[in-house]
Amino acid sequence: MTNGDMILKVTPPVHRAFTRSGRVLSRRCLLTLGGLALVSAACAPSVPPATAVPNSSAAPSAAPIATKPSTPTPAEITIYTTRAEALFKPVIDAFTSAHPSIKATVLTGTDATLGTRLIEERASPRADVYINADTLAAIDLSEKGLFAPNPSRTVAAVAETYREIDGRWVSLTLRARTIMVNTNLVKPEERPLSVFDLIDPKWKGQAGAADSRNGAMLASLVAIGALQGDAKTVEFVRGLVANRTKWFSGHTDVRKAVGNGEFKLGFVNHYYYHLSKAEGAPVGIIYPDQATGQMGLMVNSTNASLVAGSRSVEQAAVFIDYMLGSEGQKLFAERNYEYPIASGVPLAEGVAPLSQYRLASITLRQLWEGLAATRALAQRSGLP
Amino acid sequence: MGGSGRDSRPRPAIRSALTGSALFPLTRVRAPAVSRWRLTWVLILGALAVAFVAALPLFVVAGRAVTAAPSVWLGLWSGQIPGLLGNTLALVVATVSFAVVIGVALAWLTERTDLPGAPLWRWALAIPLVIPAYVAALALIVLLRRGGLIDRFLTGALGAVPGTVPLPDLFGLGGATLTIALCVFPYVYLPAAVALRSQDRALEDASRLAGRGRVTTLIRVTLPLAAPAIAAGALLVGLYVLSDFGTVSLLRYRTFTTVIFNQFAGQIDRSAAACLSVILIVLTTPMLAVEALLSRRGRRLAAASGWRPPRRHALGAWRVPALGGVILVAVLSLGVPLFTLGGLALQGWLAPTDVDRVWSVGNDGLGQQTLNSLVVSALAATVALTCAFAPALLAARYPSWPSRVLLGLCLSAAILPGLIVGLALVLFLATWAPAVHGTALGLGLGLTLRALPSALAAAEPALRGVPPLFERAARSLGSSPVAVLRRITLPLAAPGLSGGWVLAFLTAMKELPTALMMRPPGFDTLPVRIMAAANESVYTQAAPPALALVAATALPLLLLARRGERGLEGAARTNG
Repeated sequence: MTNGDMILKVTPPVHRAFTRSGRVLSRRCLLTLGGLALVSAACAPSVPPATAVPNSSAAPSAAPIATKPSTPTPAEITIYTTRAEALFKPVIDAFTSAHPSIKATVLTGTDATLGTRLIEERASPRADVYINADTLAAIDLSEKGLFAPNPSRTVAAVAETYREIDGRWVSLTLRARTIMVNTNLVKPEERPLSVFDLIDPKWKGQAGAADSRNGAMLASLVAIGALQGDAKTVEFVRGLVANRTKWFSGHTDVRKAVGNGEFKLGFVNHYYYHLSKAEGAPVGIIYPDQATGQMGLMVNSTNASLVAGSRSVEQAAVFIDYMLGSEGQKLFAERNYEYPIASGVPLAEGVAPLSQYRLASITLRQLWEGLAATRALAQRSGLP
Repeated sequence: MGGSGRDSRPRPAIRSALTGSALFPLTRVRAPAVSRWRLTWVLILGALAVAFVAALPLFVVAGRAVTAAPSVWLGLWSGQIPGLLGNTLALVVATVSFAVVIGVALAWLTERTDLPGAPLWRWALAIPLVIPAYVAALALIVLLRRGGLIDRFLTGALGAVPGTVPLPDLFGLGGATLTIALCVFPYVYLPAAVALRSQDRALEDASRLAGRGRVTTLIRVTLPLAAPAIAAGALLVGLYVLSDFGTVSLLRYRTFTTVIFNQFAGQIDRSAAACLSVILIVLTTPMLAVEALLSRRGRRLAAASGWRPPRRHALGAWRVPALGGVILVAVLSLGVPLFTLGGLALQGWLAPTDVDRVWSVGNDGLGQQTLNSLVVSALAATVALTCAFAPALLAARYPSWPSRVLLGLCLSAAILPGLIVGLALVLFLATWAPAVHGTALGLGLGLTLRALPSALAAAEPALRGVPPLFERAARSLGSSPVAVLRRITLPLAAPGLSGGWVLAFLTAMKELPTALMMRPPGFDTLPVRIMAAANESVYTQAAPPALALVAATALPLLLLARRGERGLEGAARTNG
């Protein structure tokens, strides 16, 4: 017989077998308790659920120890994240020095690789925390049942529009949808003031945007449809296509191309402007659609979730609390130029406060609800 | 791959690799008369087991595609598929044509003319095999993009307005074709060179005596004789293009693989990706069939005894342009990537820019990542070669349709997109072997499946080159089947098998999508690091791992080449 068979017959090491059986138990506990938490949350939304859940699902090999959330049992947690590793590592480093007993391992990827990996791994989850930068993908995965409720008080303190009611996903930071210009190529008086200026023929071949693979782009289209009618979405998409907009799968390529002068305008999240600016590129930013009758500024979020079936729920929750706490929020604000979800955290230098702008009146949840229909509509209208 | 002569006549294994298809052996070898039923059953069971594991991803994908809702198929057909089909086919046709033209022209120049420095060029033109196409794409982007090195230099030199200097458009069909073809033309060049060198001069002499000119002889005699080898190389190029992911995604060209990869984004829908994969497989099948047909024809044309080396033509006044062309290809395929990456790495270390500061560019963990890549690829190559043994020996000794089907199943993991292989294995391991899932061992298994075809394609001709007569003689003298295997078969096939190991290793080292999908948290390999940095367009961060990858893959290839350049060519000929 060959090695081909041997691979299949590798027996799990004994300690694995223990944790596996233990994990099954803890997952059942979690489901039941999660259900209870959901019910209690539905009955009394103003009262945060008790913090009993994480403790009761602590490491199954040891007797449950009553611990304060700030000093959890030593453990390893695995974080799947779509955030750029270089910008995320400072957060991990800071967390490790604040909680030396928790070893955090990171796997970076895209929503495509990591999301599908979560789905395929359902039977034996490897991840404890999922952190991404695409609200719609996070809600999608949450709706597929891949995330567990998070009854943390810190999560409950986040405004309800920026989390699932039971904490299955919670926003960490906000990003604004803005227009970035190359200041060498666009004069101040020429600057567009609305996203609909991107379909003006005077920018023909001079704009770049993300295509239907990108959640933030789709979210913008949902918002246009919800606030101004589907006809407007169709007009916008057709206009972009007719204007020979350059399409990309993500915004990094767009911001680089604008910075390099490949074309003049890019429809991107605000922090890409700040990254390009920090890299020394000649770029400017417009927070669009602020005039009366216009839709207002679109905002989406980066998010964190507990993965259902995690073996270290308690520690994973501590990590999410840390990111929502002042230290974590400060790092996101400073390093990534994002808008912290917690109040009282200073913005990075040069980042315009969101309070200066009128925001589009649509919630993240509403964006997700309109996703499927809008994607189909946009693709029918020619969005690549 | 025995044989000892110093003449340039190909050795038996090479000859069989030339005349029979390496992927689908059609040569009939007379089955040994001595009954070896027990060993045969072990072989069959072993081959079945390997084929089952290797074809797992295929089964999972086919299952998902079949059970996909008709609306998924309809949606894809009316939406994405026609455009993707056009894009993918255009890239395949363009790249294969380009690679064949360069490869055959270079082979003719180095083997059939008095080109100065031909032995040196044989080397230089084989080395691009170690440069993954996504690494070459990276180098070209750094040079040619707007705001890249060339743009900035020209803008400064000409005093032009930034953004107005005309640059070739790298992103799209043209750029992707050029980049991939310059990295994979050795797949055509190496077998074409062997074929041109091993032709009998008598056929060409006869054509010239009959009054045909040089050009007519080349077109009517020389090239048709080399056609099977060229076709086999072209097939490898075609398969490479179909399964390439890194290059097309960097060069923003939408093909099946990139769309399958992005199919999940936002809408995490695996059945649509499975449908697209099935179409990709359907695209591959006619390519395999054409190659099998040509190689069958080639077998009939193989020359007999009385062989004399072919004549070399004097280039005369064409020497300078010919040499210029060869140098251009060598510079573009080797010099440009290596110098660009070297320069970038130095810049990142010595003179970091604002970009490097924002992205905290450094070499933390480069040694660990190189070690990870080496260990997991060596593991994958070793397991792949061991697994390849049973199906390869079965196909070599008992050529028939069942053994061909088994071989085809073993090859299926190379045709499927790496992402799909990775996904299917993640599902399989997470369900059935959670202890292996998400470990380096799991990643090793994924890479093994991707490397298996390389190992198989080298092992099968190597084993077929071992005369059954020797084995039967040893058996009749009282050796046990195991002793025959150990003392006759393995030693005789060793050169071919070691070539197979090196190529399996090379494939595993370069493999990107499977590693993206299957690597354990905290376990980075070199291709993953390269792509992560490239996706953020932080090229100074991508350069050191890219250089490390090229160095780590070049080393075993050079060791193999020390056995004689035949070993290199024979092995490259069978690389999948």
